[in-house]
Amino acid sequence: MNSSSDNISSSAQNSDSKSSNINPIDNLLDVLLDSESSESEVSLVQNETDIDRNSSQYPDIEVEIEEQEQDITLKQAVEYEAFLRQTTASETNESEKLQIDQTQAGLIEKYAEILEIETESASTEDLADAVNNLIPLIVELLKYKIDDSQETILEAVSQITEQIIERRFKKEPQKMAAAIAKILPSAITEKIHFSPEEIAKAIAPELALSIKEQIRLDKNAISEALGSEMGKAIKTQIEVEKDAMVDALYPVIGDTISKYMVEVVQEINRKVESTLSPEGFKRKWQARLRGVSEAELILQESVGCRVQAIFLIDKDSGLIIQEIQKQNVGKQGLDSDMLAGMLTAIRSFANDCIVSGSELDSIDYGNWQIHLEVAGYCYLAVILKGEPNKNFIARVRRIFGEIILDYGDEISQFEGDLETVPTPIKPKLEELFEAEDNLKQKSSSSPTALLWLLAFILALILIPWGIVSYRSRVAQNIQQVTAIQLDAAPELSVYRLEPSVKQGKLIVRGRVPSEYLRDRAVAITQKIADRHNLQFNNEIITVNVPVSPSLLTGEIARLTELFNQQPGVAIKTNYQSKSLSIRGFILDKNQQQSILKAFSRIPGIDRTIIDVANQLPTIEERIYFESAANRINVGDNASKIKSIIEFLDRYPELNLKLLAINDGVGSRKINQNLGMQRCSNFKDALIAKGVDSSRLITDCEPYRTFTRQKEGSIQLTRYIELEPFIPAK
Amino acid sequence: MSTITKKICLLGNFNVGKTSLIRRFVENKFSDQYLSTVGVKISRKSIEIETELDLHQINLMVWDLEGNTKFKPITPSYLKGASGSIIVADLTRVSTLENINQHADLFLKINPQGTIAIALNKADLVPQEKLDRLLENYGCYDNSQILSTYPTSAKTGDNVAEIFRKLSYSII
Repeated sequence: MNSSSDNISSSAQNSDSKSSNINPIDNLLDVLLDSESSESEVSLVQNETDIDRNSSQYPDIEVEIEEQEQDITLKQAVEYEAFLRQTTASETNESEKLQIDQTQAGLIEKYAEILEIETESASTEDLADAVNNLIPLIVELLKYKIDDSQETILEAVSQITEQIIERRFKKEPQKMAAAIAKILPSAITEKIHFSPEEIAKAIAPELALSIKEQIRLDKNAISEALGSEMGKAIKTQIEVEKDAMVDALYPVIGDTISKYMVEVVQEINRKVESTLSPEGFKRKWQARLRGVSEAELILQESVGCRVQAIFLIDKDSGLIIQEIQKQNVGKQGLDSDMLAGMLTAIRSFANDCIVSGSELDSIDYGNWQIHLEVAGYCYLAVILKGEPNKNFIARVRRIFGEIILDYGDEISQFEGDLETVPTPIKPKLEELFEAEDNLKQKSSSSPTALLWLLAFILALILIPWGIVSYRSRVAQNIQQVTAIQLDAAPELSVYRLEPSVKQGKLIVRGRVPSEYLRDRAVAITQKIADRHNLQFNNEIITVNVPVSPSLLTGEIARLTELFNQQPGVAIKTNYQSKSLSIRGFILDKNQQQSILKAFSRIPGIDRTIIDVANQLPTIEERIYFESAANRINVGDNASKIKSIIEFLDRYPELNLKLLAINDGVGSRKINQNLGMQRCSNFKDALIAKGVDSSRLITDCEPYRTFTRQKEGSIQLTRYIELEPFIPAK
Repeated sequence: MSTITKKICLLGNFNVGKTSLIRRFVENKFSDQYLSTVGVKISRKSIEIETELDLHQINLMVWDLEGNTKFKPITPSYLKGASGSIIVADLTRVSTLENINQHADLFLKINPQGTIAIALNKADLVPQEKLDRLLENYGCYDNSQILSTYPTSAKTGDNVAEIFRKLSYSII
C-alpha cells in the first residue's frame, strides 16, 4: 500500500491534464480517487487504519491548495468548493447524506451566483474559457462521484449537465457534434452489445420512417440492399412457416393462376363442345393415332404455343445466319450468337456421343422448347413456349423447306457476313410469327373452315349423285325408247320385254314364245344399242309357253279382222286343236301368201290350212221381166230366189250387187227408170224373203243393154243379174 | 462498316492456357487457378479491324475446346466451320510444343481453308534466353496457312490481343 504523500506526488507527475492551471485540482482529485480505490482494495483487511489515513491526508491537501491560493480565480473557487464538498462527502459517508445534499444545494447556488457575477463582469470570452475549463473538472467530478455515490452525483449534476450541454450546443454545435460523433458508433455498438432490446426499442419507431426517407432520397438503394436477400428471406420464411407464406401469396398467385386457368378452361370448354364437329372428330382420330388421351390433346391445343425466337444457324460453325426475336418490353432479347454457338455445340456433342446419324429434334426445358429442324448446311431453331402442335411444326418444315430450296446455295456459302444473307429469308421466317399470331384469329374464323368442309362434303355427295342421276336419266331414256320401239313392233307388243341400262350395257330381259320374235326383238334393240354406243346384252329367252287359248284366239281374230279390212280379202278363220283353217277369198295371190305367213307366225298355231279362192263365185240366176213391167213374179222365181238366199248363206263374207239389164227397146230414160224400179222391187222381194238388206246393193242406174249375140227370145234380154263382191268394211 | 461473325477455335493440350488466353482477351482478367474446361465453352468478343477497303466489325465467336489428353482426343465436330484457330502450347512443357503440328493437321483436315496462329503460352515463366532458344526450335512452321508463332502470356497479357487481332485480320 502506498502512502498518501507518495500518492500525491506520483499522481501529480502522472497527471495528463491539458491546462496547467487546473493541474492542482486534478492532482487532488487523482489522490482522492486513488486513495479511495486503494482503500476499497484493502478495506477487508484494515478498515480502521484506512480511516486514520484518510483523516491524516487532509492537512497535505490543504497545504497544496494554499500554495496556489493567490492564483485562484473564480473557477478555481468553484472547483474548490466542489472539491470540499466532495471530500466532506467522502468523509461523512452515508450517515451524513442528508447534510451533503444540503451543502450540495448550497454549492450549486453559489456556483450560479458566481456564474452570474462572472457573466456580468467578465467578457464572453472569459466566460467561455471558464466553461471550457469547467468541463474536465465536471467530468472528473462525475467520474468520482459515479464511483462513490452515484445517486447523489447524478441528482446533482443532471440539471447542470443538461444546461451545460445545451449551452455548448448553442454555441458550437459543430464542435459538439464532432466530439460526440467520435464515440457515437462505438457507444451504440456497446449499447447494442449489452442491451440490444433497448436499442431496438429506441430505434424501432423510426425505422419505418427512416427507410421511407431513404427510399425518397435514393429510390434504388433500399431495393438493391434488400434484393439479394429477398430470395433467402422468402425461402427461410417458407421453411419456418409455410402456411403463412401460402396465405400471403395466395391472393396474388391464386388470381394469376385462376385468370390463366379460366382462359384455358374456356378454351377446353369450347373444344369439348365442338366434340361433334369435324375438328372434334379429327382430334379423336389424332388421339387414337398418337396413343395419347383426347384430354391431353385438348389441353395442349388450349394452352397453345408461343414463338419467342427463330434462329437460322450455320450447321458447322454455329454462326447466326438470320434471327428473329419477339420484342419483349423491358426484357433483353436472347443473346443469339452465344445461344447459336452453344446449340451447335450441343448438337455436335449429341451427334458424336449419343447416336451418330440421328438428329436432335428438340430440347425441352420446363414449359419451353427449342424445336430444331436440320438441313444440309444449316438448321432452324425455333424457341417456343408451350407444346407446338402438328400444324405448326408442319408449317415450320414447309417454310424451312422453301428457304432451303430457294437459298440453299447462298446459305452453304455463308461465311459470317450477314450482308451476304438473301433478304427474302427474313420475311419468310416472319411468316411463322404471323402464323402464330393468327392462331387465335384462325380459331375464330373456324366457321369459314367449317363451311368449306361442309361444302366439300356436299360436293362429295352431290357430284357423284348428279353423275349417277344423269346417267340413270340417260339410261331411263334409252330404256323408254327401247320399250317404245319394242312395243311398236305389233307382234312383240303383247310380250313383256324389259329393257334396262346398266354399266354401259343395254340389257333386254323377257320371254318370247318363238325364235322369230326373239330375233325381231334383238334386231330392234341392237339398233338402239348401237346408236347409244352401248353393249347389247340379250337376255330374251324363247319359251314354248302354252299359249292361253283366249290370247291365241284373240290374236287370230285380230289378224283375221286386220286382213279382212284389206281390199280383196274376205276370210274366215277357224282354230281347232292347234291347227288353223282359213277359208274365204283372197283375190291377190301374193296377198294370200303373206296372210298365210302372218297366221303361221302366231305362236300356238302349229298348222295352217288354207282354203281360199282367188276368184269370187258367180251366180247364174237371173230374174227376167215382162216388157215394160217392173213387177217380179215371185212364184215363178221362187227357186231362183231360194238359190240366191242359199248363196248368201254359203258365202256370208260376200254381198251381192244387183245389176239391171234392159232390152234396149224404148227410150233410154224409160229403160233406166224401169231398171231402177226392177232393182228396187227385186231387193224388196229378197228382203221380204229374209235377206239382210245390208248385204244387197243396187247398181241399176247405169244403162246396160243386153247385147244380143244371136237370135233369141227378146224376153231374155230384160233381167236383173247378181254379182257377188267382197264388201268394204 | 460491315459486321462479320467468325468462329475461331483454341486448340492445344490440357493445361496450356487456352481458357486463360480467352479470358485475358475477352474479359482482360487472369486467374492462377486451374479449372479444366469440360466439353466446350463459347465466348464472344467484338473487335474492329481496318483494312484498305473498309472498317470491319468482327464478331469473334471463340470456341474454347476441352484440351486433349492421352485418353481423350479433341472432338473434331467442334472444329467444323471455324475460320481460324489458335493452337496453344505451354512453353514450360516440351511435349505440348511437340503436339502443335498434330493439332494443326487436325484443324486443317477439317477446315482446309482455315488459318492458324500459334501461341506459345506462359512466356512469363520462362527466362529470356530459354525463350529465345525455344522460339528458335518451335517458332517456324513450313505451312502457308500457319500465320506465325507468338510467345504469349495470359498472366501479363503479352501478345494476347495481338494474336487474336492478327488472326482476325487474316480471316476476313
